[in-house]
Amino acid sequence: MKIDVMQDVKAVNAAYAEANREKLKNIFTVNIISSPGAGKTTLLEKLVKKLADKVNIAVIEGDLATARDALRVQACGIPAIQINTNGGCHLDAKMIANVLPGFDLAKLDLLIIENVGNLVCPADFDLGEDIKIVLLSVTEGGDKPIKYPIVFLKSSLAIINKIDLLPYCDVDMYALRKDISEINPKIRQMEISCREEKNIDEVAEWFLSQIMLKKQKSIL
Amino acid sequence: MHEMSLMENALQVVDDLMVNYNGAKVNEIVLKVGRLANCIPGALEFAFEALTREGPYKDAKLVIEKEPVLLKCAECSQVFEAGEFPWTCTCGSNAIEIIGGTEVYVANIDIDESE
Ligand SMILES: Nc1nc2c(ncn2[C@@H]2O[C@H](COP(=O)(O)OP(=O)(O)OP(=O)(O)O)[C@@H](O)[C@H]2O)c(=O)[nH]1
Ligand SMILES: [Mg+2]
Ligand SMILES: [Zn+2]
Repeated sequence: MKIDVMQDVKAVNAAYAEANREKLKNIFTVNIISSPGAGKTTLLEKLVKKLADKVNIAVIEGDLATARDALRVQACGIPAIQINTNGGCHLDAKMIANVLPGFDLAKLDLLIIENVGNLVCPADFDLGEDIKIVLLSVTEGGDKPIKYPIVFLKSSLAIINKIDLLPYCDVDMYALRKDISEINPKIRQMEISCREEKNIDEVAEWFLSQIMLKKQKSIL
Repeated sequence: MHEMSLMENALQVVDDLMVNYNGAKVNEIVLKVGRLANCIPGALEFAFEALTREGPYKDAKLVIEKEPVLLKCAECSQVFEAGEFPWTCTCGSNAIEIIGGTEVYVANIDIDESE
C-alpha cells in the first residue's frame, strides 16, 4: 500500500528555529559562517572590544571539539557558551535552543553565533538568526564564492579578512568582489584585517546600526 | 555529517506515520531531494543503511528523486529552472530569489500491513 506523505524533513529544524527567533525577538542575532581558520573568533575578539561599552553582547561558539574559542571570547569579558558538535559539520536550531537558557536574554542586545568552520553545511540550517554573515580570508583563494555560492546567496554581509596578506596572495580583489555581487547583488561587502585592526570600526558601526534597527522593529 | 541527521529526521517522519499502522513493514521510502539541499545521494544511502539495520525498515528500499532548483526574478516575477552560475533572468536582471530546490521531503512510502 502506497501512502502519500510530502513532509519536509527539515521541518524539525525549522520549528526550533522559529521558537528561537521568538525568544530572540529583542536581540539582534547573527550567524557567522566561514571555512576553518578564516578568522571568525579573531574578528569577535576585536569586535567585542569596540562594542562592549555600548551594548550587551553574548556569544555562542560552535566547534567539533574543545572549548578554546569560548575561552578566548570569555577572556574579553563576554559571556560565551561552547557547543561541541562531536563530529557534526554544522550547528542546528535545537543545539541553540538547548543553550539559550544559559544567558540572561532580557539583558542582551546582541547575540553572535560562530558556526562550525565549514562553508557548505551551516548555510542550510536556520538557527533563528536575523542574518547570516559570511567571512572569507584572502588566503583561501578568490574562487571560493563561485565554488560555494549558497552561503553568499543567503548572507547579508560578506567580510573579506586578512587583507594584510594581499601582497603574498594572488587574489584579484576587484574580481572577487564582482563575483560576490553577481551571486548576491544585495549583499554588503567589507574588507578588513584583524591582524592590523583595519576597518574593524566599519564592522562595529554596521553592527550598531543593525542593533538599532532591530530594536525599532521589536517596538513596532 | 548532515546527511546522517537528515536521514534520522526522515525516519522520524516515517515513524510518526507508522504509529497508525500497527506492526506494518516498510517496503519503500521515496525522498525528494532538492539539488541545492547540499545532500549527496551516496551519503544519504549510506546513512539509510546504517540506520535501518533493524525495525520496520529492515528490508526497505530507499528511492531518491532529485528536484530542480527553481528561481524567481525579483524584477519581472518570472519563475524558471536554474542553470549555471551566475544566475540571470531573461530580462537581464540578476536579482534572483531561490523558491525551490533546497528542500528534502519524504514524498511517499510503501508499506505492507501485517493483518
Ligand atoms: N595575517 C592575518 N592573520 C589573521 C587575521 N585574522 C585572523 N588571523 C589568524 O588566522 C588564524 C585563525 O583565526 P581564528 O580566529 O581562530 O579562525 P576561526 O575562523 O575562528 O577558526 P575556526 O573556529 O577553527 O574555524 C589565527 O592564527 C589568527 O591569528 C588577519 O586579519 N590577518
Ligand atoms: Mg573560531
Ligand atoms: Zn526577470
